[in-house]
Amino acid sequence: MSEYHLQQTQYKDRDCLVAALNDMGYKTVEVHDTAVQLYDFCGRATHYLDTTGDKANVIVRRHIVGGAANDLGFALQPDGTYAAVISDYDNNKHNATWLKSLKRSYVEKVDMKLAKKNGLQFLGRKVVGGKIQLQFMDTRVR
Amino acid sequence: MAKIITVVIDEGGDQSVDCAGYQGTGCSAVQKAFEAAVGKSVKATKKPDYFKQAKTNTLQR
Repeated sequence: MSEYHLQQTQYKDRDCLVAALNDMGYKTVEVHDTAVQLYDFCGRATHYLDTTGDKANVIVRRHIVGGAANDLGFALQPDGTYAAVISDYDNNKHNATWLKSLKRSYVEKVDMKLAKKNGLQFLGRKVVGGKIQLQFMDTRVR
Repeated sequence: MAKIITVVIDEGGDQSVDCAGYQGTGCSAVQKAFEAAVGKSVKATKKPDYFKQAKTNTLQR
C-alpha cells in the first residue's frame, strides 16, 4: 500500500538530515522551506495524512528511491523536528534498521558540525565494534 | 593536560560523550552541548577531575 505514516524523529538540523540521506545513498534530495506535495508510485498526489495533500520539506523522490517506491519525506513539525513520512509499501526498505542507520549518520554530522562551530580540533574517526568513535581536542582558553 | 573529547555513537544512533582533562563543570558543559545538538540526552559520567574542582571551590568559600 502507498498509505503514508508519520514517524517522529529527533532531527532538527535540516542540512545534517540531508547529508545523512546522502550517506544512505540518496544523492538527490529536495529541500523546501514550505512543505510540498508527495506522490505515490504512480505519480498521484497522496492524501493519507492531510486532506489537502501529504506534504514534506525534505524529500527523496520515488525515482531516486527506486523500484515501485513512493516519495520519502521529512515534514517539519511545530516543535522544530522533522518527522519521517514513509509509505507502508516502503516500510520494507525504510525499516527500523534503515532508520537507525540514518539516525547514526545524522548524529555524526551534527557532532562534527557542533565541534567545528566551537573550534574543537578534529583528531580522528574510528569504527570500533560497530560503534563510531569521534575524537576532538578542546584548545579553547576558558 | 590536553582536553580530549571522545564521542561514541552506537548502532542505534545513541551517543555517549567522554571528556578527559577537564576540571569542574567543564565536562558537563561539553556533554550538555552535544546533548542539545542531537536533541536527546547522552550518557554522562563524572570523573574524579569533576570532584577535584568542586572540592577546590568549596575550600575557597
